[in-house]
Amino acid sequence: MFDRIFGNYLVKTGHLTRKQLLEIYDEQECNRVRLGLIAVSEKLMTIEQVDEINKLQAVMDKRFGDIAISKGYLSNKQVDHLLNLQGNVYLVFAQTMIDNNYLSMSELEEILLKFQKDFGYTQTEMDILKSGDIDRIASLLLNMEDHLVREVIQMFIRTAGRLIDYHIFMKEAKEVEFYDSELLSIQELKGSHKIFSAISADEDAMMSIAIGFAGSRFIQDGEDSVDAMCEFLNCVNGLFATKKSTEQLEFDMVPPEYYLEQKNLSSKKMYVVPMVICEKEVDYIIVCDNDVTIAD
Amino acid sequence: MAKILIVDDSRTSRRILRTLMEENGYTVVGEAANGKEGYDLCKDLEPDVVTMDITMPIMDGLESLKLIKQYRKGIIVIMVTAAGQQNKVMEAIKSGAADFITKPFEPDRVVKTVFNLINK
Repeated sequence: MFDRIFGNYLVKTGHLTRKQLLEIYDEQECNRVRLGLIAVSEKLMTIEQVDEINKLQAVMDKRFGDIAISKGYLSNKQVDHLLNLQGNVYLVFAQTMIDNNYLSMSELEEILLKFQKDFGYTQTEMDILKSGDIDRIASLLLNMEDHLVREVIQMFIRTAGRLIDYHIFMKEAKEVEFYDSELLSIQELKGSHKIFSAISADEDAMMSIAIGFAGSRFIQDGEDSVDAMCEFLNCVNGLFATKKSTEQLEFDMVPPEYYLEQKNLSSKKMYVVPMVICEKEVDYIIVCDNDVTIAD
Repeated sequence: MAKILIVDDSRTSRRILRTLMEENGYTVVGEAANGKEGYDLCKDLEPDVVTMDITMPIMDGLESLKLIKQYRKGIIVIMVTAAGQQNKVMEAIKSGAADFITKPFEPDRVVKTVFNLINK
């Protein structure tokens, strides 16, 4: 995720052009090898086992390595070995940038220090950002005490990363009482807690992420896209409910709904998390244990 | 070829299922956006198989399943579910559902499930 956050910072501060950044991402993508492929080439897993896990990942909130361990295909040590071979995403990004002579190593270090200063991050926090660990990065950027809300957002990011865009990244969350939506998909969970979640984006962004989720043959207009994103919320919330059921928390999923016209959302305490998915800006909105009013 | 009725409040899911079924030679005789509509269409269209989403407005998939099974015991009803609905899936199986498929759809599994049930 940090390759995306820092990449955008480099464009904003004029160190890279958008075109250069996209070229780096393309090259980085070519260099990135999936864990399953490494496992097959290392002869630790068969192609059939990898396919089985890829399919399971669509309905389970677990990393590839964790499922492989639980299925007995890999040991902990073998997963660590594969992760080492795969490499750190940010380091591949930095290497690609330097190899293309867009920045020298010393320039890069200098800009990283400036980034750290601009955002007030400690060295430990910078290490978390560079680690590539989505859960730790999300905790840092969310900076909120409400652990339930944080867990739902982490689930959203992990699921969107698996089902829509591996390169999803988030910006710092805001706490608000009012929010003006664009196209809007919502779903509520009821039970041990009341959790409202929503995705708001303009039509272009909503269509892009919906296509990323359902495929272009099934998404033709704005209404298709908000409907598909309702299904995506249903997946996220279902995975969250499954996870919490192991902690004796029970949730019922309410049928999702969508709105094509602008709405005003209000609640005592509402979190808005700006995300970039498929290179488009969307807001993920979440409210826990407070009523939400949706008005024209 | 078997006749299929798709009951799901999501138009995207209905479209995906219809495409999958038609590409595999099945005839989709109708689509419904909630359990009540699904039950009504089931009586009108006499499908062999119903794919039934669980979470829907007006009437959910469980209630619709029970009505459909009362109306025609032998009909094959396949529940469609997101993760996190294990209890409801268990209840549906007890109420006569033949099997279940999960969202997001795995095309191979969906087709295999329908094929196996029809050719049982």
